Amino acid sequence: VDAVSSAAARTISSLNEQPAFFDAGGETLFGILTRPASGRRDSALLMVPSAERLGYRSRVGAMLAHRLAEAGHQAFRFSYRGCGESTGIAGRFRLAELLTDDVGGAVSWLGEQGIGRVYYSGSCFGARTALAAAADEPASAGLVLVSMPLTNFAPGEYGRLTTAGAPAPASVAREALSARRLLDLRTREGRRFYATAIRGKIKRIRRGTSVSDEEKNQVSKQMLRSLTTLLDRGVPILFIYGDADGAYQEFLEASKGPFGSLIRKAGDRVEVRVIPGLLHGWVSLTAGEAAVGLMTDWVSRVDRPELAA
Amino acid sequence: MTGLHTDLPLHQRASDVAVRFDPASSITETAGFFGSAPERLFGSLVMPPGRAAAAVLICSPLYAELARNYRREVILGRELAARGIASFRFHYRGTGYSDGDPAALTFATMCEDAATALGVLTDRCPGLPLGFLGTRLGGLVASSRAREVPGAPFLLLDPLPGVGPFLVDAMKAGKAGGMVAGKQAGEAGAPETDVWAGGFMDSLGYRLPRGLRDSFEGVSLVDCLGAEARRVLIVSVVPRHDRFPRAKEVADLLGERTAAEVDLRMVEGKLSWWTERDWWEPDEEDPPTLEAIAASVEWLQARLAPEWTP
Repeated sequence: VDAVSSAAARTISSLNEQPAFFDAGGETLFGILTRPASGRRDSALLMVPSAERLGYRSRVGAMLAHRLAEAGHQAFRFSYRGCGESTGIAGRFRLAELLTDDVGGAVSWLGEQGIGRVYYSGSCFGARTALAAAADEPASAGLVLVSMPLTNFAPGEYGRLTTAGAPAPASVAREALSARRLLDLRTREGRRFYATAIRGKIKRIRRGTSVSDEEKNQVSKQMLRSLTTLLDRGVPILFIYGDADGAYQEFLEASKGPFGSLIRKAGDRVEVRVIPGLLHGWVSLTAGEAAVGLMTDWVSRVDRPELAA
Repeated sequence: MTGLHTDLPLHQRASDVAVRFDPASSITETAGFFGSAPERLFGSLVMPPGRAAAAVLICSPLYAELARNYRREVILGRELAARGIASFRFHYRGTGYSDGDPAALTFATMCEDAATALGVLTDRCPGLPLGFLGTRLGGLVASSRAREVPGAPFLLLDPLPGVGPFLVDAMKAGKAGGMVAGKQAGEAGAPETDVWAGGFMDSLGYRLPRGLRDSFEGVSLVDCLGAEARRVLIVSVVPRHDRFPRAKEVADLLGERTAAEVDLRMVEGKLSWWTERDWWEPDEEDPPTLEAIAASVEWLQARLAPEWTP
């Protein structure tokens, strides 16, 4: 604990954090620019949030920004509209409707701070948003894509389709027919709860079976276009997956098709790193810390040295 | 629309905070770092148009619960400001955007942070009537400050009587997450391990230090709040099938063991603290959330700023 405490104190005193409100597509978003205590750069890692309310889960965002600043780099994290301290309403996060306007606002604000070279990063929905936004921005310098899904299902939708379409496992059936559950049927509320649950299951099965395996595995054409644009420009890209991520299975599957040809053609401009465990959603400390280490190392390798005074 | 507001306390550097003036509502929000490194608190101060009639300290929950509740608190702060009530919300040291070592988080440091935050609020709103609001474990922290202000109205959102249910929820979420990861990685059926091994519990990527658990031992909401008379409102979003809502348990406890006059408002709806099944819909469009916020704001306004006009 002492070692961790002294590391935390050292980190904080060796960096500057500048909070900011900035305009983006008619809303005012909130972000934090983290810089080393000294030295000037014209670049920063832009941390595009995923489809959760605080963006990079828990302290991952702060940890990454602080590590980068300790290594002499800059990072900017922000909240989408309707999230965190920002104004507006987020709506439902859909891979077919990426929040690139919000990223554009962040890039404009960074430009006003003298930061013209932007490394985009994001996880899951954030990775897809970062990729699409970077393709639209000629000055994008690089990309880190964490647990990026390759299909266009809305967050949570793929899992729901897969499980709802499948017959109920025996354990669920046993639980539903257990004495404790059946006793619930004595009350009106209990019967109503049961009826709602059964109706929901039937609805999900109907919806789930209407999607074919081919559609489930379809790689997003928009994502492929963005990737092609960036690789044609020679932009370096780092992919990071956890080997237990659903998106990693998509990645392996897609690697057999045009997506795979594209990244193989890019040679050493594309790096793919795989971490043991589940990385998606930053739900594991071990995997999260490993990813932060990989991201810090990659930025340190590709970002050019600080500007002369 | 952003604007520059320079009315900052003397110890505050302008670059430590960002200020937003909303021309439609004339509300001013100041978000950023308060205090000095390496012990800065991240917080957000929301000031009403004109002169504030009262001020409320908002003590947030922790970890996944902070993330789940974040937008509710932002909306609530803005709604309070529209009714003449200033508010300040903050991240405890070692959590969120605040400085500090995550491993050093304890109930005592959370209470110290609440005291610091109250100082920021009273610095900006001197002499105004105070109210307190706490959500989940934040209720215990808020109560430790509220007891210092006799008669101050106290609002609890989805409260806990102590740390027990919080730890159970965090542990279940951690185990469920571990099972998902283990199943997909082909490691299902791994032997049970001590979730606190290494001095912390990893629950969905949040690092809960064992010291935090230990520091809450013997701490109860009833003891924190004290026995003095005050008005308390408990607001809770409760699923229809929940026959033993925790909010009712807390209301009964406070009613029996303190002199507080407790009102209970249960709003029918779904609210999951450690799973993300209802996270995809925006709070601004969720009727139970809006109902809970409206009930909270109306109650605080009636007690703190009944006659305020912009």
